[in-house]
Amino acid sequence: MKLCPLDSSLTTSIRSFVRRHKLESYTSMLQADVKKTGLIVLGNGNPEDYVTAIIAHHLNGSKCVAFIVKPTYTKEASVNALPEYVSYIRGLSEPANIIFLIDQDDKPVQDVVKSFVEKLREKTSIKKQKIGDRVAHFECEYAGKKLMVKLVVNGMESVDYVKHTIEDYLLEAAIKTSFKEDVENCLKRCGKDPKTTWRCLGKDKQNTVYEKLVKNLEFTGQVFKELFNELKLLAES
Amino acid sequence: MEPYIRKVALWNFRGIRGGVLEFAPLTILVGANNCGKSTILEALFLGAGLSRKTPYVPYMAVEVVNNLHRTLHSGSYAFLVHNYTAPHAFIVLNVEDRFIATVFLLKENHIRVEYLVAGEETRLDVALERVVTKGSGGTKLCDLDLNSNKVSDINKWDLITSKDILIFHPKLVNEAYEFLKGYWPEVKNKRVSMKIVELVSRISNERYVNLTLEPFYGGQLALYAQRPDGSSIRVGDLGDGVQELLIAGLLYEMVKPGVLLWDDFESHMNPKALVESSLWLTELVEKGTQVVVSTHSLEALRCLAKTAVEHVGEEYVSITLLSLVNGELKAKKMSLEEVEKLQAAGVDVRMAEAALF
Repeated sequence: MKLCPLDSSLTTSIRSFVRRHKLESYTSMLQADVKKTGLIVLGNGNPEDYVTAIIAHHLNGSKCVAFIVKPTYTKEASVNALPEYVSYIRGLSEPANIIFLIDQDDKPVQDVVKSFVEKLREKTSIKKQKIGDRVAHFECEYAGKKLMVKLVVNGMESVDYVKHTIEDYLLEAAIKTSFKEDVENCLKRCGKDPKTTWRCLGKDKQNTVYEKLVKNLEFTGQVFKELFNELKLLAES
Repeated sequence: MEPYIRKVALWNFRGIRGGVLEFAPLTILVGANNCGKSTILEALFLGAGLSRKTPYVPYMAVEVVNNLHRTLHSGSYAFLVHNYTAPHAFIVLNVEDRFIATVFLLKENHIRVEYLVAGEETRLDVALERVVTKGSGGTKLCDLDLNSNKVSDINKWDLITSKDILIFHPKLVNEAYEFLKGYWPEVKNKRVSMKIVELVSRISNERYVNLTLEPFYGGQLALYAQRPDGSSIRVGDLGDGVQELLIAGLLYEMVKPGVLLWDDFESHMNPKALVESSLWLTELVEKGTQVVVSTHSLEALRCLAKTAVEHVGEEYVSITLLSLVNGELKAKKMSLEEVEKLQAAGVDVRMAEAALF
């Protein structure tokens, strides 16, 4: 699956990452015969964009394209931009698939989901919902249009960090890429904050982790289980 | 406040195989590279009389456009028709209640250019069809050579619209200088220069009180901006943004066109210059001049649209997003509020052509 970012900041970030790691998951334009499969909304930004680019690289080649955006609203508030997406983005299948990707942060995951649902209810009429541990699916309507909104909350309960973000998975991947000791040292230095710990690991080690994820589909699928499954569904929809 | 040009329809003109675009008193064209912004401005400029005299050297409108596109020594007017080979092309302007078509008919070694005027669109369509079938039938403007820059058999040197349409492009500064030098007594006696240096002083770190035409070392004439203490600086040594606003302003005052077109409006302008230029353009719109600009800058778009909305009202300002795929021109009108809401949603209208059309 190819990603088509819709602003310059996200384009710069994804384009550079894709170039460095020789991924085939970026496009700036659409061919008429390529299916527009949905929209991915990043609630936090980076490194979610990198992870999404890696997963997209593993999925379904260049047969479909997903638009990807990073609104100025963050976390659950990113759902505030939903009316703009539904009103202006053309050519998405009906129901339009929109995936929101947000970090759990320092709140219980149920609170994040609850807050998201409240905001989604303010913007749309929810017809059906299915809420799992970290993934929720909502069939809803906005301005007469049917939507399939999906929420993926990043974070791993199994690790004892001060908050939970997409870096939880990246640190897990780093541990499995023979950087266990480095991760432990950085965690101590960074007060168990996954974001600063991931930064503390340094560019070289981060790139080694990314390289492993790029080369190994199965490993990527295991580490980013929920997000991988949702993007796979999107690519196959 | 009605726009002078209400609509343009293009057929096989340059990169555009077909498309229609509507205009407001102020229209801001945005879109990706190669989406037809400049082509539209050039079509509007040529649509007022392709062989008419303009404030540039060379003087003829079609020569001015040719200068914008000439690559090294390649000279041919074939660039005006789609793919250099389309048998015919049209520019149809809907100005006030009239439809004025410029028709390009590709012949063996030249392009025959004619024009037609009709009060109704349907009548014009019938006449256009006849011209295309017969290979002529309108009023001849001129012939354009396919193997050189020559324009021959010129039949009409005047406007074919009731008001002039002036184009400004940063690449045309030298052509404009040459014109201004040749018409210097008019520039001075119309007191155009004093008015424009005042505008330019607002974006410069220096104040200027007038423009003069004097010799430089070696005796060649050059334009100078005069400081209050009597000393002066060659206009060519001022910053590019200052020069461009100065030249655009002088040309405007000389021609007093009904429509001002400005390609790459933001070029070389810092935010201070953008604010002053936006105020100047808004003032022109208030006085009844239609303005059409193109830009790649969201900052310029915001600055001009916001200034104009505040002074003349939202209904007179159109932000038009363009898309050109396989020669098919599409346009989407947006308000500044919509552009900003999309920006907050992570969608930059200049980059999201694939999603928005």
